[in-house]
Amino acid sequence: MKQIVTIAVLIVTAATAATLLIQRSRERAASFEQVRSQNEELTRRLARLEQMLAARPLDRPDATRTAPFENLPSGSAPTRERSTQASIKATDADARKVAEHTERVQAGNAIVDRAIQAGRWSPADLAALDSATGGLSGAETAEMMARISAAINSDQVQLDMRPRP
Amino acid sequence: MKRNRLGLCALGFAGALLSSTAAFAGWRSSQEVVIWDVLSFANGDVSYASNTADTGQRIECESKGGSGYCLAEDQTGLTRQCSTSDSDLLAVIRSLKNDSYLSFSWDTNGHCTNIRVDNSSYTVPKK
Repeated sequence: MKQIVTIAVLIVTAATAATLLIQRSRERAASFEQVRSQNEELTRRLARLEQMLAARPLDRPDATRTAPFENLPSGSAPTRERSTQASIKATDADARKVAEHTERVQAGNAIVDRAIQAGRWSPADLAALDSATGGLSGAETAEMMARISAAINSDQVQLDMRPRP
Repeated sequence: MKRNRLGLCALGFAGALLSSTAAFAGWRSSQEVVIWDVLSFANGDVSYASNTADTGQRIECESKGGSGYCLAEDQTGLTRQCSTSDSDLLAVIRSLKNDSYLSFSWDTNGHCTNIRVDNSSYTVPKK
């Protein structure tokens, strides 16, 4: 009798373990499937991005003006083409913004670099930095100021406040 | 070790307070600019530099847009500065007045770690 009970207990335990294993395996499969679908979505997006970049005329700044359907009355160009054209224009505008932003960051950092090299920081430098970094985020401007502050605090740069306001 | 460091900090802070010349006129104080490098800390009355002709001292903050900085220069010409884009600290900077008491501290990267402004009647107004 005891043997039967033991066997029964063993069978129940084995069944429970098997159920748990199957359940975990299913969860893993689901998780894997989710990752796979995310990966596919990312791949699709990347392909779309590559298509957009390939369509974008990098070497021809006047490309938007010579694009097909440009001179046609509104509504007469195929929708898909107009959409592509709008995307190209938007991408160009974005690229210009990025380029301007990068220039501002570089200009600001150049002012800080020059001051650190010269070992002097004056109100004129501050004004130049203010002017160069217009439009940058507070964090970006603060980071540049932090660089000059760290140089001042380590006595690499002397504050030249003459003439005092 | 940690306790020793805390003790040193406390000692330094006390030293900073003691070494600063706080001249009391009635209930009003006029504290010169003190920079305590050990603590990366500076404090003083904004009005002190303006009211004391023979000193090159200054302590001030300025904010512009989403960033700001604080600057202190003591009697010896030692200067310390920090910068921030933290909205809370920027709000403190914007509360600064001509007769405020100002203190700030900084980290090794030049970022402000704390800024304190006291606008009380105890400080001498800027002349």
